[in-house]
Amino acid sequence: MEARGLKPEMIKAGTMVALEGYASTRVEREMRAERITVNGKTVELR
Amino acid sequence: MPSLFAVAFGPPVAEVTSANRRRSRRTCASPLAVPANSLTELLGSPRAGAAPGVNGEYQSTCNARPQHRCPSCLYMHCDCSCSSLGARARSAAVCGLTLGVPKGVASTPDRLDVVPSAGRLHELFAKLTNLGGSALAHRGWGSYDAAKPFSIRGEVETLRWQPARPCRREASGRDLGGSARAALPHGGAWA
Repeated sequence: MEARGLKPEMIKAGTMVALEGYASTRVEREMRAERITVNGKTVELR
Repeated sequence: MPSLFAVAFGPPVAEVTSANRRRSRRTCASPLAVPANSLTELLGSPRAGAAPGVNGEYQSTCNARPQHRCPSCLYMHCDCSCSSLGARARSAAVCGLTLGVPKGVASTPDRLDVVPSAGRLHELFAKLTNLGGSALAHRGWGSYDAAKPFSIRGEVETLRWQPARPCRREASGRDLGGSARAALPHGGAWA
């Protein structure tokens, strides 16, 4: 993730983020995110 | 660089992504790949007065007003008699959907899991992992419904970040060396 430009300090508590991905079909409250958008920057997670 | 972090979110807002925009009025199936009950748990109640998503993903194709958010699939539906969009008339069998689990839908090295913290339905708990191919064997990508993407939005409440750690392969007490690097899920540590 860091190599793709997503640093831990970018997603500190209180930061608004958006995740796009797929719901797990096995774990009820789990999703797999394909990308995260934080502060207008979208980072592909795949 | 393999890494893992975890994020917990505040009350999120569900969105439906472009893959579901062209859904037919007649089919009116759920746009989200989550069983109705679990989606409600996952996302919490839709935020009152929430604006429709970009390009109107939230809106039904019916022009009748008012519209209301379907409690099952979180789409906006009308109250008119067009029959295909009456959320109240729709059963969980329609909105709640039957999950199709695509097999081998992806084989990517990175993964971000979102899990609400236990006992708090409005919170989400995310884990971001970056695992090598063999490390994924325990779960695999087929356990995620890639056919129906969706997005969520919320504030990060807590963050756990597990930096990548090197591992060494051993067999019969003999160190095989190797340069494999993999982050262990759930905060695990290599021995």
